[in-house]
Amino acid sequence: MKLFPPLLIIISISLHADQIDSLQAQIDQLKEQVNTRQERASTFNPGITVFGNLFGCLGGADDEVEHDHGAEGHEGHHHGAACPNSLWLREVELDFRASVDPWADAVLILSLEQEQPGIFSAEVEEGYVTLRQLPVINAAPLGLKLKAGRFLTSFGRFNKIHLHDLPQPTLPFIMTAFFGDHGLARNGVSAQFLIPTPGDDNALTATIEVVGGGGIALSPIEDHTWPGFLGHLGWFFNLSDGHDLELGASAYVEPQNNKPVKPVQVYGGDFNYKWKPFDRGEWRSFLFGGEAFLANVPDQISGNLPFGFFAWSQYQFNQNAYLGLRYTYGQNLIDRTHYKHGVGMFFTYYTTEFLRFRFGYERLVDRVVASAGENQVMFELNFVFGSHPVEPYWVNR
Amino acid sequence: MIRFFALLVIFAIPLWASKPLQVVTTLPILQSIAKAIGGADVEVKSLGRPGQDPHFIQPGPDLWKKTRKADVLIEIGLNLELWAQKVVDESGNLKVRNGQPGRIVASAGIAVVDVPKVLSREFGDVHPDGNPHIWLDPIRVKKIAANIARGFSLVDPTHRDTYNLNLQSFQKRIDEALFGEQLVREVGGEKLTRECEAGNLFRYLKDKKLESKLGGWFKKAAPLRGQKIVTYHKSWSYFADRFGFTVPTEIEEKPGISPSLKYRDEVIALVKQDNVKTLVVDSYYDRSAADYIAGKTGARVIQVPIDVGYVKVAGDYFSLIDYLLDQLNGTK
Ligand SMILES: [Zn+2]
Repeated sequence: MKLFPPLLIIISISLHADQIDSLQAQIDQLKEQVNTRQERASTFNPGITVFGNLFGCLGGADDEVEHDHGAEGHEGHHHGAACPNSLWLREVELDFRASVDPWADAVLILSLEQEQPGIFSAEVEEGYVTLRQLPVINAAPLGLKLKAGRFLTSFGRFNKIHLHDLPQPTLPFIMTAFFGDHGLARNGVSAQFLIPTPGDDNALTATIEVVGGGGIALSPIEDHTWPGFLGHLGWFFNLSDGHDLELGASAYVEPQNNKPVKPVQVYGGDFNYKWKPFDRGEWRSFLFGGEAFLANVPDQISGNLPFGFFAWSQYQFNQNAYLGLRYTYGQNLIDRTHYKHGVGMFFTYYTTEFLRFRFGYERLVDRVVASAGENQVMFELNFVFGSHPVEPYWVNR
Repeated sequence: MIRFFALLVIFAIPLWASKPLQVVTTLPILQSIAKAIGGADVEVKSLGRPGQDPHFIQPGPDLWKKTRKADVLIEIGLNLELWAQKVVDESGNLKVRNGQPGRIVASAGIAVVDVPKVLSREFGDVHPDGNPHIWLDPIRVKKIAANIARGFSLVDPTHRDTYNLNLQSFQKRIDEALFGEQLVREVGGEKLTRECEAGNLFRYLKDKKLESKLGGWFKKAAPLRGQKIVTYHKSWSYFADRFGFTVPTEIEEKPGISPSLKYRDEVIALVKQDNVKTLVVDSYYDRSAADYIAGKTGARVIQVPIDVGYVKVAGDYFSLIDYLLDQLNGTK
């Protein structure tokens, strides 16, 4: 009789252990089922990301000098000088993306904008399908990716970056002067290739785009007869662990219907150096880049080829804080001897990749009208939510 | 003419057949395992480099190019390498897209821990499908290897037998490294693995009076059993579970978020209260918070890679685990 209780305990313990094992197995199985079910539920919904961008600026010209000589293009595109001294929700962007079928993926980026407080506009910033294999032959020669729809064209680097992904609160003025407030976004088709090159530590990409013509800021003629032709070559070098260099060249040509008028032509060069060491890689980085632009303005006397460029740099201090600088130079589209240039400085603080605060100051000086200067103090708050955003690989975070 | 084509075919077949399977992996650890499984029949490149943070690898054009011609891409999965999708998209390689036989998800079917109960970024940059840092557990690595072998066989059935043989010898090597050769010889790796997975290994060995025969990594890890160790990121959950120590907290406040001063003080209090002797920081994280905590508590900080190739002595999976145990034990 006295033997019984210990025996019972032993039996119950061993039963217990067996039960735990089988329960554990069941739990694992259930976990797997739950995981696959979650995936199933969302399979046919597009990935949605929402970006919000709050912007504020305070600014003015030295001695309130009036200058409306079209320094930034024929339409007198405002930048800097037109700072409304206020804080407003500059942009809300909705990014949808999903696979369409075995051949294509689709991207739709809708943007609700307030260029100035109270002035709203809604637009399709980008909307395109990417064919990842050609129908019929069902292959992608040279890694071809064919894009059709509306997209940010591949002229240089900054032009392809959305406002909320820029390392600076505004586009450099030279870009808005040459291309327009939003850079060169067009309807058309785009083909990207990976050109074979020897070695593993470099890669050559080529992009060819045919887009709708007209409406480029540097051309006053709204001629939509001819499409625009754009080409970009990018050569990426992995110099050593943590050191990358990318060089690029771009060209945009748009023939004009009116024969004596020369075609719209813009040529560009870009470079970008990035240091991001492997040790403490999320805590330190250094970027140095720039882009140059040379244009032919159709209605001008031959020989006037306005030129502009910007150079920028950004240093990361810790997991959260970045300090950036940029210098921008741009010749007037009508009179090359008349130019504007200036320096901006930007401090950026990320709490996470989803929330960013940025403070900036930029001073631009106009070299004709008695060196008139404009000062602008900027504030930017950017937030992101939804599915994991696609990050441009060349900018931190 | 027909003879010419026949000759062409005869010569082309061996040429075609001898071309090794082109494999890219997201991480060096997967490259090392894939080499062990594929042997001479595969050529393996890693997209991530030794010492790079696996969460944040730049999906740049050099990686598109490496992936362009691959027959197989191996990733851990579980939302660790979010950047890999961008690489595959840009490479234009259709064979390694999600769901294709050429895409091997190494974590498939492997039990995970730390699955968040609530999915919200309020809790930081969490891994929504559970902790993806599965490779520091040798038992799970055997399954990773099996997934890779199965994937290789699917894409390249002619070498199926080789892959399976290589898998068996890799798994046996793991068993011997983990339990010790003698114990594996007497009990068998499968039985030991089963007991291990059920959390019964030590009770089983005690019942069978085999404790003294336990060798390998388990023997080496004996001093760690029951210890409390604080890590920077949740990359050590599986290693801790396997070798019997606990991680009462992480130094980062939430995944991807460095500790605030207030949180750092809370960690200090916990380190003192739990008598934590060791703080572990993965090589690609910042160690300053750990150093500060160590200064206030007398704990020691070790900064180590959790992938192969970053330090010379940890060139493959076996030497990596050896190296990590040595570091944790403070013996080297
Ligand atoms: Zn992680």
